[in-house]
Amino acid sequence: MHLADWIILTLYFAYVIGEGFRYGKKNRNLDDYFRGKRSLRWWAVGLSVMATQASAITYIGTTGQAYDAGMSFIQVYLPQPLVMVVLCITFVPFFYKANIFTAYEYLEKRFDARTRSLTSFLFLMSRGLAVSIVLYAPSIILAVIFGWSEIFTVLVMGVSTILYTTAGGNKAVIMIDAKQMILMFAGIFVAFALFVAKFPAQYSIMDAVHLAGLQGKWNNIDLSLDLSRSYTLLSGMLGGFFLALSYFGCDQSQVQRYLTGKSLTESRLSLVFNAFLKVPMQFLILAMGVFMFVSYHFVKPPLNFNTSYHQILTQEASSEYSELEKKYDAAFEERRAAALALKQARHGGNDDLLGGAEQKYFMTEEMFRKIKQENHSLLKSVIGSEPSSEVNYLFPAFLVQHAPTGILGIMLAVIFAAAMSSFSSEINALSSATIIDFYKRYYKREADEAHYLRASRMATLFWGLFATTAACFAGRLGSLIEAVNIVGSYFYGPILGVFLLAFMVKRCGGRGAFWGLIAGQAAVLAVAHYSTISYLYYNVVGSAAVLIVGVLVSYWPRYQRHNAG
Amino acid sequence: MNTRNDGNWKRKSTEEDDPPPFMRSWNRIYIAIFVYTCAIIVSLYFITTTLNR
Repeated sequence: MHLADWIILTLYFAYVIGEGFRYGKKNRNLDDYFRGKRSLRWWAVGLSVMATQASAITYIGTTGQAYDAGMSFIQVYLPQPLVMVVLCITFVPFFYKANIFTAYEYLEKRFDARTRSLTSFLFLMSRGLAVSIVLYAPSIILAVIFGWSEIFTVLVMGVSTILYTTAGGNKAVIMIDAKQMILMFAGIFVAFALFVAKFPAQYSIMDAVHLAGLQGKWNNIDLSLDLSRSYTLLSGMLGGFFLALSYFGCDQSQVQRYLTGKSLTESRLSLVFNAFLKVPMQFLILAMGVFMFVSYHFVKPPLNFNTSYHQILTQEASSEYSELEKKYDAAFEERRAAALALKQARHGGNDDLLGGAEQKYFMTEEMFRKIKQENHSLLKSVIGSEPSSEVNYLFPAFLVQHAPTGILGIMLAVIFAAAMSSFSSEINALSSATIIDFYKRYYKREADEAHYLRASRMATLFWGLFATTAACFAGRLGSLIEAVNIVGSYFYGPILGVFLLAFMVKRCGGRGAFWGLIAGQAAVLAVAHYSTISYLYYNVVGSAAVLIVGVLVSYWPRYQRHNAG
Repeated sequence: MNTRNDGNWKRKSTEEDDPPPFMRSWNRIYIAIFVYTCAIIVSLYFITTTLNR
């Protein structure tokens, strides 16, 4: 890190914290703090919706995932434009016209207090767990770059975000999110330029596309009907649809964005904006991972991307590790030469030569992977347990090694922006659910606005500190992006089911909704424990169970009298 | 007083809201999004079958 990088980072942190305090001065009541006085334009809300979803995990985890397994993860995002349409037609007008602060508040108007409280509690559970993972991701970068402990870097990230969110409230979060999202878009193109800059002379983008294709990295669409496969068109369009509908329609961290729209039209436009931009953006981020994969054919990737593992092996198994490194260096050079020969053969136009070059390339790639596997086994025997996933370290390691002065600072600011935009929205949403659905609803029903504003800031502070502490223990999880979606999938389906009952089943009452919600959560836990289906289907199972049980209970003759009364 | 909302979404048709600033009606925007999604899926499938080995 050079002085220019430090200056860029310092300016970034100073700006966001300063903005938080500037907006904070204007907050007088809960409407200011949680809904920004319902005064925001579509572009700000739309960018904030995108920024909230696109965390640092999106940059680190998704690029790592594409490097490892190709583009298949894009299928999870494909139904999102359609989800935006469903939201514009149903959820958004219902919420906006109900003049509510939290999505769960609507459930009390529609059903009863216990359904609202249980749903809000499930949101607090799921989001409270996931938010720590969101914070953990960028801490990896600092740990890799500076050799700091991950715990220390989590604290640096967490405290900075807590400061501007606690002070500024939701309007500050949204306006800062919008600027952070623009920075993230810019970061995608800078990253592409970095990867392409590492290609050898006369190695074209189409050569890179061809090489990635040989490794099956352009696996955008998988038409398999196998329910145990995580990423297929079916799981994306079905499970991904329910996951996205639940996330954007029932998760307070997103609902709170579009509740701040200046009008219903502005709120709808913010989602239309997302419908058109989200999939292309996600495609580009995944393609970054594929291009990074190709770049690492020409610049040597570390044998261990996680530098702490490198140090452990150097100290604990120095002779074996040293031998392995020599083999690794030789295998890398062979693979590099094979990749260049492949390019030459491709341009030569001779199919036989091309076939031979491809065969040679596959042999060197196989050798390369074999050595990586030997490294994994050695590491496992030294540390005595399964090493944490490497995919999360790939992109930060590339930046540290290959980003020039100034660009490194910008890319770090991009990753911080991604992390902080999600973290701030989520602790703000956790705070609003805590205050509106529990504190103001049960504990302190009558108090002046200054009291509620103080309590809201305290709740934001509490959730920020809770997530920061939990993030210190998040390192043992696998791919971060998967971890967040898996945690979400345990809760999202049942929560979505309750809202679908509210909107679609006119005769459903509070009793049906409450028992439906319990049954839905039990169904998800049972399926997760006893079956091998992909976690994306948990959302379908949870929603379906809530709908079925909710309708059955509501139509049961004994309870029909109750609902009528 | 019954404060319950009966959740009948057909009653809350999009027609009663302000029209969007472009394409004149929300339904046209929704159709455009649907067509756009189909085009993306077809394009991605084409990329998969053409570039992947």
